[in-house]
Amino acid sequence: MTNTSAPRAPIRVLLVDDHALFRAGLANLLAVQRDVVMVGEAGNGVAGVALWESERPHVGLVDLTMEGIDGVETVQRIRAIQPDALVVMLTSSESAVDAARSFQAGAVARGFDLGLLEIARGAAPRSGR
Amino acid sequence: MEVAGFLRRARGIAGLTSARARRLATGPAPAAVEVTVAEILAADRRSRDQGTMQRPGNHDGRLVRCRGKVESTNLRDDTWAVLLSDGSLHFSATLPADTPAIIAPRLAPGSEVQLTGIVEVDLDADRAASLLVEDPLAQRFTLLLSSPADIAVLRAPSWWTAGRLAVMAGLLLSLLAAAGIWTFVLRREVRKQTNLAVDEAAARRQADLEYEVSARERNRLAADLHDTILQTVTGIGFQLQVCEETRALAAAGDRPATASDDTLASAQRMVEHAVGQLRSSVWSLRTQPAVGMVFSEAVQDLVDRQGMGQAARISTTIDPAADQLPADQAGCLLQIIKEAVHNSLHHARPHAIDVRVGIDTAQDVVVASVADDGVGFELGRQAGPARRHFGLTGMRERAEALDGSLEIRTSPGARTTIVVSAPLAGARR
Repeated sequence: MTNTSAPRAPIRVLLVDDHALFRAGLANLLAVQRDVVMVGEAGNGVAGVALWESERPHVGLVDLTMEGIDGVETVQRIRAIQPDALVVMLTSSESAVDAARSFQAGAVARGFDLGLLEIARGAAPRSGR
Repeated sequence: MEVAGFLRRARGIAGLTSARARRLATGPAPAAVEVTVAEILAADRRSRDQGTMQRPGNHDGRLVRCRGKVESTNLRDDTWAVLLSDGSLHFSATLPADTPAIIAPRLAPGSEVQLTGIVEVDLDADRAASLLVEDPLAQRFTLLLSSPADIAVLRAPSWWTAGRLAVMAGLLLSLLAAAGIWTFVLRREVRKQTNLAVDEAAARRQADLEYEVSARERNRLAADLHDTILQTVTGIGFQLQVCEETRALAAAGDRPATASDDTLASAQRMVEHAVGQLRSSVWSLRTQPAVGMVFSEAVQDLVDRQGMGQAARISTTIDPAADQLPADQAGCLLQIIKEAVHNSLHHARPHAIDVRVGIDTAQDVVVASVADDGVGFELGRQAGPARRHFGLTGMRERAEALDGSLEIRTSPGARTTIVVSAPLAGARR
C-alpha cells in the first residue's frame, strides 16, 4: 500500500469535533490518504470517548473547544481507558494556557496538518491490531 | 372741723354740697384701712337698703389703702383722673388738678401702685341697673386722693408692653421665616446637587455597563468567529487539499475522473455556507437597528438574518405600538432579543422560536419574550463566564439598564422562555 518496504496496516483514525464542516473537510482529507482509515467521527466528547472504547483507533484527533465536555476532558477520559492513547488536540488557539492544558491532559500535538500522521505511522503497529 | 352746706341725698351716705369748712382744732389723722378692691365693691346690698351703709365691712366714705395697676391717666377739668384695675375689676382715683404734673410720668400704664384715699362708691349707675343685676353695687368706685404722697409706686410697669411684645413677636416671626426660607433654599440646592451627582453616577454606571457589555460582545464575536468562520475556512482548506489529491489520483488512474468533480462540488457548497455564516456574523457586529427602520421591522430583519441557514422556524408577533419606543429602549430590547435568539439557535436545537413584543398601556410596561421548543437547560448550570458565553448575564444587565427585569423559564428537556419586562420610557423615574 505504501512505498515502504514492509506493508503496514492502515492507520485507524477517530475524529472528534463539534464543527460539522471542519469535521467533514478533515474526514474527507484523511479518507483519501492511502494508509488511513476513518474509524469514526463524533460531534462531541462523550460520543468520542464511546467510539474510542469500541473502535480502539491508533490516533484520535480531538477538538479543544466543544460544548459539553471539552477536548481536555475528552483526552483525559480516553487516556483513562487507554493510558498510551495517541491524541492530537485540534485548536487554532494561540493561548499558552490552552497548550499547557492540552499537553497536561496527554495530547501529543496541538493543531493539525498531514505531517502529524507520520507520528501515527511511526506508532502504528506493523500488523493490524 | 365745722362744715356748713346743703344736704345731698343722692348718695347712700350723708353729704354736703357747696360746703364751707372751718378748722376748730388739730388732731391725729385717722388710720387708713387696708382693703382689696373686691372688698370695697362687695358692699352689702341689704345694709344699703336698710340705710346702714356705715357698718363695718362697707367702705363707702372711709379712708382705705388698696392696690391696683395703672391703666391710664388724664387731666380732666380741674382733676387728675387715674384709671386702675385689679384683675378684672376697675376703679378710678382722682387728685386735685393743682397737684404737680410730675405724677404723670411716675404713673406709667402698667405700674403697680398702692393708693390711700377716701372711697366714694358710685351709686348713680346702680339705680337703673338694680332691676337687672343681682348685686348692682359691684359697679365702680372712686378713691379721692389728697396729694401725690397718697400714691406709692410698688413696681414700675413691665418693659413688655403689648406694642413691644407685638414688635418682638413680629421680629421673631420674621427671623423664623427668614431661617425657614434659607433652609428651604439650602435644601433645594443640596437636593439639586445631589440629583446632579446621582445622575452623573448613573450615567457613569451606564457607560461602564455599555463598555462591559460591548467588550463581552466583542469577546463573544471573537469566539463566534473562531467557532464558525475559522473552522469552516479550515475545513474548506482541507476539502481543497482533498480535491488536489483526488485529481492527482484520477490522473494516475487510481480514481475515476468524476471523483475530483464531486470533491470540488463539496468544496463549493462549503464556501457557500461559509459566506452565509460570514454575512450573519458581520451583521451581528451592528449594535443598533438599521437607520430608517422602525422597531418591528428591525426585529423582523434581525430574526430573518439570524434564521438564515438555520433549521428552526422563527415567528414574530410585534405590537405596532412598540414602534413608538424611544431609540435607546428599542436598541436595548433588540439586543436582548438578538442574544436570546442566538442562544436558542446555538444551544437549544429548537424546531421553532417565537418572538413576541407587547405593550401593556394599563401597567405602562413593554414585555418582550423569546420562546423555543428546544432542549432547555438547567438553570444555574448553563455555560458561564469561564466558557466565554455571557449571554444570560448580558441580557440581565441590559434589562436592568431599562429598569426592568429578566425572567428565564426552562429545565432540561423542556421549552425555554425568556421574558424581559421594563417600564415604558415615559413612565420611568
